[in-house]
Amino acid sequence: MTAPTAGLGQYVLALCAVLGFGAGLWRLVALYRLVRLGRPDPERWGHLGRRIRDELVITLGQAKLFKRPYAVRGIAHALTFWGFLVITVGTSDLLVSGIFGVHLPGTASGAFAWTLDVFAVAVSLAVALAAARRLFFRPPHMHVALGGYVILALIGFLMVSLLALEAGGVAAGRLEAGAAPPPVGTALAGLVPGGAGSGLFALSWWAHVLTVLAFAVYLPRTKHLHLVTALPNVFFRSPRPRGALRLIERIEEQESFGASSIRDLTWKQQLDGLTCTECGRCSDACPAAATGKPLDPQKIVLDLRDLLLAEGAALLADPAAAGTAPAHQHERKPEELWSCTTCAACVEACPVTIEHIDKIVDLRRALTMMESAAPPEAQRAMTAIERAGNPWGLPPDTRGDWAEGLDVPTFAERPDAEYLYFVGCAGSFDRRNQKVARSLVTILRAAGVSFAILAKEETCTGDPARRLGNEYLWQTQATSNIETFGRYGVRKVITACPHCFNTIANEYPQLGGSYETRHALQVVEELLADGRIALAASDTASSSGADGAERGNVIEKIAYHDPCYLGRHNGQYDGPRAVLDAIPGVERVEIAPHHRERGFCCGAGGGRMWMEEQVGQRVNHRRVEQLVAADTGATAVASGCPFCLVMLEEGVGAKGIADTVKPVDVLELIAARVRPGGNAIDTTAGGNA
Amino acid sequence: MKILVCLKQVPDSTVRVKVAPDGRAILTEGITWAISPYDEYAIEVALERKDADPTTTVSVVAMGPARSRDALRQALAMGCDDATLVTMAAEEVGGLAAARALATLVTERKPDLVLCGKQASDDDQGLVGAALAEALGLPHVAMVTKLEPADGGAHVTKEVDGGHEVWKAPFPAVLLVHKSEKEPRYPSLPGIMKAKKKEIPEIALATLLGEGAAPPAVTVTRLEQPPARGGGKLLTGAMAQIATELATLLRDEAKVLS
Amino acid sequence: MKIWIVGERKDGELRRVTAEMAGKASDLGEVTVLEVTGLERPSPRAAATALAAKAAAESPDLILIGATAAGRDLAARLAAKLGRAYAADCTDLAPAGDALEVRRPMYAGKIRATVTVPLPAVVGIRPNAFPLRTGYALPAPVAVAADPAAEGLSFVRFEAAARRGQRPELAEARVVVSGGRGLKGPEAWTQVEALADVLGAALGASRAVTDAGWRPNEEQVGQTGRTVTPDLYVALGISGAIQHLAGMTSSKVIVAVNKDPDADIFKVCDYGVVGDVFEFLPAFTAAAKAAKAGS
Repeated sequence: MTAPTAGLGQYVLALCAVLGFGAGLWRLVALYRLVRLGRPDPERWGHLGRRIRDELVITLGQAKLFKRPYAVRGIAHALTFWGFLVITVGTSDLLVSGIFGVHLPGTASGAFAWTLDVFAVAVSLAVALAAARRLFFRPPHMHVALGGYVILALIGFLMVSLLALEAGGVAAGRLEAGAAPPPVGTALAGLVPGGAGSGLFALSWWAHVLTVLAFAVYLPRTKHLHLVTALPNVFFRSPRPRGALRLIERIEEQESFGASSIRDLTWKQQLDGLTCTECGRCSDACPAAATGKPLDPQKIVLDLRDLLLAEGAALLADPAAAGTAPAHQHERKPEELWSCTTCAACVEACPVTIEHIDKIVDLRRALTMMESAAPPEAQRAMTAIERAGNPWGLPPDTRGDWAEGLDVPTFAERPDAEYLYFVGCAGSFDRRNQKVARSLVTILRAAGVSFAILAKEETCTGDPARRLGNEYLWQTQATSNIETFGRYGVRKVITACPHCFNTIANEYPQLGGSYETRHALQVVEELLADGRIALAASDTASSSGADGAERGNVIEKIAYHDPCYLGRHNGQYDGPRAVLDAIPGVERVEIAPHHRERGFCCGAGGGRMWMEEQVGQRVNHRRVEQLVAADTGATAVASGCPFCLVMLEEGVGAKGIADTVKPVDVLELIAARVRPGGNAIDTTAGGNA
Repeated sequence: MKILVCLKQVPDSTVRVKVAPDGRAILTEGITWAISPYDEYAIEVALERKDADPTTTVSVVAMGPARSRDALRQALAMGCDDATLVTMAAEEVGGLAAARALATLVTERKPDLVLCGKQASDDDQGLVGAALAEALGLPHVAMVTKLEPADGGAHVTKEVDGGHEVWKAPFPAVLLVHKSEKEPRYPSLPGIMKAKKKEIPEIALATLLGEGAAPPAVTVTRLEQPPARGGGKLLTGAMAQIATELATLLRDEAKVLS
Repeated sequence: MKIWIVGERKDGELRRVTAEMAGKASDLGEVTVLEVTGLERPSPRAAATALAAKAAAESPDLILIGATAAGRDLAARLAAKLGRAYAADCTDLAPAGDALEVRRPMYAGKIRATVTVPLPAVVGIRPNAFPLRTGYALPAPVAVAADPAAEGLSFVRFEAAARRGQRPELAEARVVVSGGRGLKGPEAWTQVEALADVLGAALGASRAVTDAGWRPNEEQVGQTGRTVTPDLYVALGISGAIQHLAGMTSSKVIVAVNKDPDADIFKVCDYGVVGDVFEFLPAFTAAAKAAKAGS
């Protein structure tokens, strides 16, 4: 349509545009400078193909918006976003035609006209629904700030004014020859009283354009900045495996560790803060928040953003200034930080790929390594790792004792073993988990897998230390293990602990230790698929505590609990389930809806295994409540992690259901029924003893 | 306030100490060494004073073989200002001689307070602290848990049966520490890094001992491991009978009841 | 051999260890029992000064002092003052030529040592190491007057411990009676305390119990609580999870009572009772009391 900007109008529009966009740009530049306050972050480059793919899928495709239980809301947002993109083209056309008198190519086409109008209507509906929900059907947990209504009003007004200007323009005959008529606009044109078309057109046109310019000024000063920042934020997301924390390189040469100042965060971490849409999905998913701990992942992100906005300018002006220490931004901050189990539910939930855990660990690093301010129990665990090679401080020379009588060779005795079974501290010292270790041995033997253990030469992977912010201790432990692995020429590693698995597979390469690492359940899945083990129809030893049950036809229901470090951190959801499904007589049930990507933590991650929960409900008790509420009839709950096992044991005991639901490790279920398969390797002829 | 802390490096408490085949010493190969736990409390008491008054200086000294440097570095990493090593072979001298050597050092250094753990967790004798005070002709307070400055000295809290006593100790004095108010601090990483670079001067034991006959000392002639803990004796029968049997076993066999 | 026994009083009575030492010493030589008088509060330097003066005159070959906290304090100072060999916290002694052979714990109780002590010496004796000698009459102690000023300190005040009263502190206790979830609830602790009273024990608890609020956090034994190294650890209704074991596994003797025969605690105990802890408690409390009395 011909813009109503004849004569002076062009210049006025041009001036408004310059002022509007200028103000917006001004703010963006200021924010850019604040982002640059952060440290360099070399890992944000490279992997171009992956970055482009993420941009298309996550940003353009809005993929993370649709996760349950937000599917409908996700669709509403996606429509709004796509609508915004389309309408931006339309608005650009309005501005260009208003200032220069020409239209953008393609805007005259029917396809464009239809797309524009369909989205205008869809977005209007979405906005109306959103407003109605907030005003009349507000869910109890939702708090709406004024800004929420403002943005809804602005978007709504933009849609309405667009349709109005179309209607007026069609009625007043402003549509150029050859330009496709806007379908909805045309339909609405019939409602326009005669003669009013021209005035309606001009009014709506200017209102629309000025609103857009107002938007340009308003947007970068609110959370709606995510419209702009989401693009780079997704593009520059970490290429690290999710479970891997960032390495402090050349640690001996550094003077500062972790984030004692907002300056110590990387520029990407600053960008995260400016990208937060304040949607709260991370907090909804957080097990600590759900059980009354002071931790709120959204607040962690926004606190850092607020600190940057409040103090950034002063820090830019004075390079020597450090500003408020983020870990002490307010009195309860350390408590918030220590409450985190690093389960990654927040990271999983975030639609704009903010990396919450990295920030929490960076602040923990400052508390632990700079201030020696880790909680006393955490310090005890770290001291124990340092001195005894395990967080319980148990005698290191008893590390191999769990295997007594099993004739399991050590690498020293059998240097040519194909696999290292890295037992880990829990498997080595915790009596309950020693049973799981023995189960794995049974399984590996049945398949004829060639393996050996390190026994006394094994030492803690350092995972708890790293999660607690003690990067130095983790590097010391990792280096020690890597040296030992190197001495024996270890190339393949199996472990039954997802924490050991995660750090050896994803983090040891940071220090030069790269091995083919698998979690025990991955190995079992492979052994089953390869026919190297078979599972008997019934087990002679009851593995899940059901006494005297008749075997054979009885289907035992077993619930699967996703360990965070196997599931969310390493994407292994299906493998363990396939293993459970392979067991005859076992029916796998789910702890819906808190399963798979939405699995609820057992509470022991992030070093919390060694700390008391002082506030709220115990996370593992909440998990057991979920199990009970799922009402599956399960007589056992199976997982693939020593921490989960211990926490579930404590949980069912505390909840008084220890006689009805037995926590087990999947490996125990397998070991009770395993037989050598058709393709098992004969161990008697020189294989593994 | 000027504080000198005496510490000893011993096998770490997580080590399962084993007796050497000749039965006269423990096996030390590959074990982890650490600051004796009560000495750690002593360091913490000193550092808590330093936290309260940054003008306090805390020096540490250890007597032992070269590996004792690691213990001194740990103390430096915790926040002590300087460290000295008195080199000697392990258990080269008895407690009285060690105390006399330390006394020479203390006389040179003139600290306001000398702190040490109430006993070392290897020999568990608890002799050196009191002997040091005696050699210096100074008062000493044992079972110390807290110290606060007081006019020309310190108010020292001493744990006793049923509570605690507060004594005023004039400077200089020797304090034997039982516990600190807070857990011994985990060193910060900058502390660890700085400690690595700090110089630790050495003094030969002979220099401090001087002339004169060595004072009498005890000799360890045999070490024994208590029997390994396996599954225990399961007592069966009627509860009344079990109870009596257990009580008798505990009294006569295990000798832990009397 | 001329042997001195230095007695210590508690609540007006001479501590039992005095008679234990004297009875044993009577096998080895001529025994004189002494006690230091004139000191309102234990003052090791003043006491040592007084004893040293008398020792200079009378030259006892061996001075035995009970290894209580005050006793160890005095013994060390006295040995230093006299320039004598010293062995602390001994559990046995025997003559060996012109020396003494003693047995004592080392490495926080993990090792038992045999030690040769040249005479003249000062030796600390662990309470309960020697049984009371039947038929032995403890001679009246000779008073040795001490001058409190010789301590070189000034006494300010005494503060009684808030709670706990007569119970030993967990970290130092020789005997610990510990309760777990198997005790079902806080009411059970009346019986637990009764047993602890008979055994002179400190009270311990598992994490489950302190978490549930049945017992205060200070009693928690285990990974995140306290590590204890008593001579006797009685675990009542405790399953033996690793976090708990980490805190008590260095106990000399462990007694476990649990109704679950598969409980892990039975794999680390010295004496185990599979049964109802509520039957055990009254029965054993009575039996222990009888056993202690009939020493």
